[in-house]
Amino acid sequence: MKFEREPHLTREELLAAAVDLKDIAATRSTHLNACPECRRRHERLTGMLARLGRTAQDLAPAPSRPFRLPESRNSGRRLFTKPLYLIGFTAALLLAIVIWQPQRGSDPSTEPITAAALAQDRHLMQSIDALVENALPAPYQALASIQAPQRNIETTIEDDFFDWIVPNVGTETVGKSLS
Amino acid sequence: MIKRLLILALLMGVAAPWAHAQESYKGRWWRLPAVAEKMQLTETEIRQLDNAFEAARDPMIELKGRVEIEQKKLRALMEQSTLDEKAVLSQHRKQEAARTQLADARFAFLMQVRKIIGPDRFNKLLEIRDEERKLWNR
Repeated sequence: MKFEREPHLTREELLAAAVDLKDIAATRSTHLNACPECRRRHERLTGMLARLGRTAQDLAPAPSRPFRLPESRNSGRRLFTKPLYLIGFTAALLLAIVIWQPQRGSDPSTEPITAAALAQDRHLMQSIDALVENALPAPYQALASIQAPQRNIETTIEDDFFDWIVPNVGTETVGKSLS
Repeated sequence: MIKRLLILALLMGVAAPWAHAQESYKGRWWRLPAVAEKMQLTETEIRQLDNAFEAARDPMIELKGRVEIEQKKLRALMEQSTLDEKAVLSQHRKQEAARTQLADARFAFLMQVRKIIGPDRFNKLLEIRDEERKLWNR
């Protein structure tokens, strides 16, 4: 037979064939299939490697937890998805703050006003009322009132209303309180 | 001495809230709890009234200053030995024009108040005013 004329597979060829039959030349692969001696050596080698693998597997300690090989940092998907996720999260956070801010502004709780500020506003309104009532320079007011006709008792709602809201200085009503 | 100080402190403790109550009666009436309660003002409305007042305050201060300037000019003309009647009358008109502007600004604020509290409670405010007036006239 033809295979008898060809030399048997060398040790290196047998090792290569044990890994993958395609690793040896087609003619050598044909010889391996036809030659009982080479096939026996090949089977013995692959059997020995298989047993060695099983022994190693039996002797190796089991991992305490499953592990994964780290993914390549060059992965395009990882490169783009994480920043996008962060950008999306940041945008959502900013949107929430923008939406929340006006609601915070419309919080109906009123801030306390200091007594000094209230007094300042009170004096302002008093002086405005006095000016609206009579804008003449102070020295002429009394003189004018002597000659001026009696003021109509029926005042307008506007004047009357402001008199109540901001009573004139020196009237008896200053000391009264709402109760 | 210590006894006197204690009495003084006690009097001050009593007088301070009383004085505050007297002062705070005028001005921002909506800040008075009694009025706010009678008017059933909400926190939002109180704040709106505050905002309206603060918005009206600066123009009123400016107009008040203008009236006072016109007042001074009028007084200066009146104090001259020779009275320039025409100039005095003209200045008086200017002063009155400024006064009218101030009155308008004050009335504009009153309209804002009416818009915020609504017509019903505006009338209620007039009623409260009348009740208070009756109390004062007793």
